[in-house]
This record gives sequence, C-alpha cells and structure tokens, in this order.
Amino acid sequence: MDYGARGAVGRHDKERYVTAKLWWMMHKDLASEWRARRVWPAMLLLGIVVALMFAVQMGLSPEQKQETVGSLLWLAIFFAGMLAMDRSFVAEREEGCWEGLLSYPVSPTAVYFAKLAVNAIALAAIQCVLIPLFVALSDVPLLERPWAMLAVAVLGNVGIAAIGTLLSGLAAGIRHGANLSVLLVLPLVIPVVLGAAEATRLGMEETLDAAWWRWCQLLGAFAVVFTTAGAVLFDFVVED
Amino acid sequence: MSTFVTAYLLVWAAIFWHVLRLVARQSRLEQTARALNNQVQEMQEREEQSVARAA
Amino acid sequence: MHSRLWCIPVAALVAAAILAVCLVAPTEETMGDAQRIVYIHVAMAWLALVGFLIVGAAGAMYLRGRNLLWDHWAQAAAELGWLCASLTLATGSLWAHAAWNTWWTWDPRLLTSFILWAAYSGYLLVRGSLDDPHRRARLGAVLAIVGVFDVPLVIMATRWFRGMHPTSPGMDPTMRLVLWLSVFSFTGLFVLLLAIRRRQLRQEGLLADLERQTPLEDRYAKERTCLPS
Repeated sequence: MDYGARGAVGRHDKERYVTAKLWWMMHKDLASEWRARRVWPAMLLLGIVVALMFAVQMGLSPEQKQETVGSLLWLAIFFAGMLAMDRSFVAEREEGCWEGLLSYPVSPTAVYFAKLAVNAIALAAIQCVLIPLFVALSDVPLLERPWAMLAVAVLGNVGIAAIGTLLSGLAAGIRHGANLSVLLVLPLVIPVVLGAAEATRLGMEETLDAAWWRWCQLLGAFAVVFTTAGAVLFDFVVED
Repeated sequence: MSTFVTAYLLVWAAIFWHVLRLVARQSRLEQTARALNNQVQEMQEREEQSVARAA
Repeated sequence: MHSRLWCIPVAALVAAAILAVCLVAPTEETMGDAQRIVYIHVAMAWLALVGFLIVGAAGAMYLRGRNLLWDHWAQAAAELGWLCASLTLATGSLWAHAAWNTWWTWDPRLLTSFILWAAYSGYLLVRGSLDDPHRRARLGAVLAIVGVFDVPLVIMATRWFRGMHPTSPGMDPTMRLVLWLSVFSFTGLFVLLLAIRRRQLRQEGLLADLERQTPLEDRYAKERTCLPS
C-alpha cells in the first residue's frame, strides 16, 4: 500500500482504511451465513433441545431450577458457539476461500479480530434466542437484572470467542481437525464457562454481592488474556 | 497402607514404562542407523567398482 | 555420554528419597500410612507444572528462530509432563479416597490439575496428527503458549475461591524435609529423562534427514553414518 501520494492526509485516513477492511471481512462472513444458513439451524436446534430438556424437569423446585439454569445455559451457548466457530474456518478452506483471504492485504491479526467479532455476534445471537426461551419455558428469573445478564454475556462471549477462534483456526489446518477443536478448546474455556454460569446464577439472587463482581472480574481477565494471546498468535496459525 | 503401596507401585510402573519405551526407541534408532550405514557402504562400493571398470 | 554418568547419582538420590518416605517420615495420626502419598503427589504436581512451562518456553523459542532443536525440548517435556500430570491425578485420587472417601471433587485445585492434564493431552494429540516437523512445531508452539497464558490465570482464580484441597498444611519439620527431598530427587529424575529423550529426538531427526537423502543414487554420504551425541 503506497500512501506516499496521500501523505498529506496522514494517519487518520489509514485507520479508517483498516476499519473498512475489518468491516468488509465481518460482513462477508455474516452475509454468507445469512445466505447459506449452514450453521444456524444446528445451533438453534441444540439450544432448543437443551431448553426443552431443562423445562420438562418436573421434579425440580424453583430454587433448584435457579441453581442449575446458569450452567445449562452456558453449556448450550458454548457448544452452539463451537459449531459456528468450526464452520467459519472449515467452510472457507473447503471452498478455497482461505488462500484468497490470506492474500488480502491485511495482517492476520485483523483477520483474527474480524472472525472474533463475527463469532461473538453469533454467540450473542444464540443468547438472544436462548435466554428468553429459558425464561419462557422454565420460568427462571434470568432477566431479573438485565444489565447484569448483559455484562456477563458480553464478557463471556468475548472470552469464548477469543479462544475458540484461535483454536478453530489452528485445528482447521489439521486432518480431521474439526473433531479436535472442541477437545482443544474445552480445557482452556472451562474457567470462562464456569465463571459465566456462576455469575448468571448469582445475578438471580436477591442482592448482587461481591462474589458476582469477582466472577465478572475473572471473566474480564480471561477475555483480555485470550484476546491478546489470539491477536499475537494468529499470525503463526495462518502461515500456511 | 495398601493405598500408599498402590500409589507408589503406580508411579514406578509409569516411570518404568517410560524408560522401557526410551530404550526400545533407542535400539530401533541404532538399527536404522546401521541399516543406513550398510546402504551407504554398498553404494560406495558400487561407485568404486564402476570407477575401476571405467579406468 | 554424559547422561550415563548422571544415572548413578540420580538413582541414589531417588532411592534415598523413597527410603526417607517409607522410614524417616513420621506417620500421621488421622490418615495413617496413606498420607505418605503426599510426598510423591506434590512432586508430580510440581513437575507437571514445570514441564508445561518448559513446553511453552521452548515453543516460544522455536517461533523466534524456527530452529527445530527447540521443538525437541518441547516434545520431550510434553511427554514427560503428560506422565506427571496423569500421575498427579491418579495419586491425588488415591489420596482423596483415603482422606475424604471420594475419588474426585470439583474443587478449584483439582479442576486446575484436570485442565493441565487436558491441555497436555490436546497438545500431544495435535502433534500426533501432523507429519511435517515444522508445521507440527509451529502449531504445537501456539497451543503451548496459549496454555501457558491460561494455567497461571486458573491458579490465580483458585486462590480467590477456597476449596477442599488442602493448602500448605502445617507440616511437621521432618515431614517438610522428606517432602523437599522427594521433590528434589524427582526433579533430578525428570531432568535426566528429559535430556535423554531430547537427545534421542535429535538423533531421530538427523536420521530421518539422512534417510531422505541417501536413496538418491547420484549422491551418497562421504563418511559413514555416525550417531552424534
């Protein structure tokens, strides 16, 4: 990219150019998913099945339901999210778009951030469906404090998407890698899913106490660490 | 008492298994090296013979 | 070969540690002899953590210079570390059964140990499914570095949340001494096995290179194949 001719315009213009590229990559993924609808049916089905299985538990008291709904919700979110993340890399490799993407004049880190954003959006979308579904079917006060739920959801999404994007990209380059990717992500993401589940549960209590804050801080720490690690290491993942 | 013995036997069995694997790998390695050596020797001899015939 | 020399002192040290564990360490009142598992459990847990740090550091060094020699350290450490992590879980389980009459709980520290073991397993699985040495080294390094970021975070998290696993117990000074001896001797064994395995990997790499070159009829090695140490 020769900026010599536009030198007088300066840095501001360059930054807008990068943002435009990021937006283009995100739009490409989101649009192709919207058109092809490859992953959404599977993700939704997974979420609905989990919600239904939880709802038909007749022997549980409302307090017990409140205790357990957080874990089930976040497990469903995690597995649905992994479906999306796998597909986002495998589909590109199958269609031969991967080489095209790599020859696009933008650093791999930007590709990482674009994919991270798309995956976080996918997770958010599944949450928009699942949380009301859980509330409607099982009558659990998940949305008692909407802003608390939102905070936990955002932090959890970024954490899961950050590590999931990096490791799905890594596994996409391996024979039968799709089977490996969940296995690779699971141990590293356990603290995030656990934290999100606990924070969700604590968010439904009468008072929001320090424990909820600690879990949120933990989620934040993981989100930051995983995003940094992903941004630095994605360069090495895409070298071939 | 038996728990303690089980634990230690487990640890030593694992260490033993690892060492055995190391030894087995090493002997296979040396076998391959010897085979390669023989191959190289044969090729050297063939080369010398063909040089001698040409002379 | 220098490692042959080290075998004797390491073996002597480990033998001394075992004797100390069995004879010198006093028997604990509540748990009896089963408590002696702690001497090896702590050593294994420590080595599993150290092993993972070595894998991560070696991976990072590989990514810097693309020298496969660093990758040999990473693989050797991963194999040994996986063994230590598995033994940590196994001995811990046996200890837990003796102490709390349950084989497993989802206590934070046990969760960390499980995560460490699973990270090792994932690393070895990824390495096992790749043939090209550089690709294997590169992807392994990425995985290891992510793990190294993750594990301290998990350990810090466990400090925030108390659990069933005993933190530094108030130990009898004799017990503490035996513990240190045990950790020290097993570390020595670990380092010895690491060095041997690393050298073996280097030899395997060199041999594979030579094997690829030799079948070409118009080139042959000028000297005989020797195994360098």
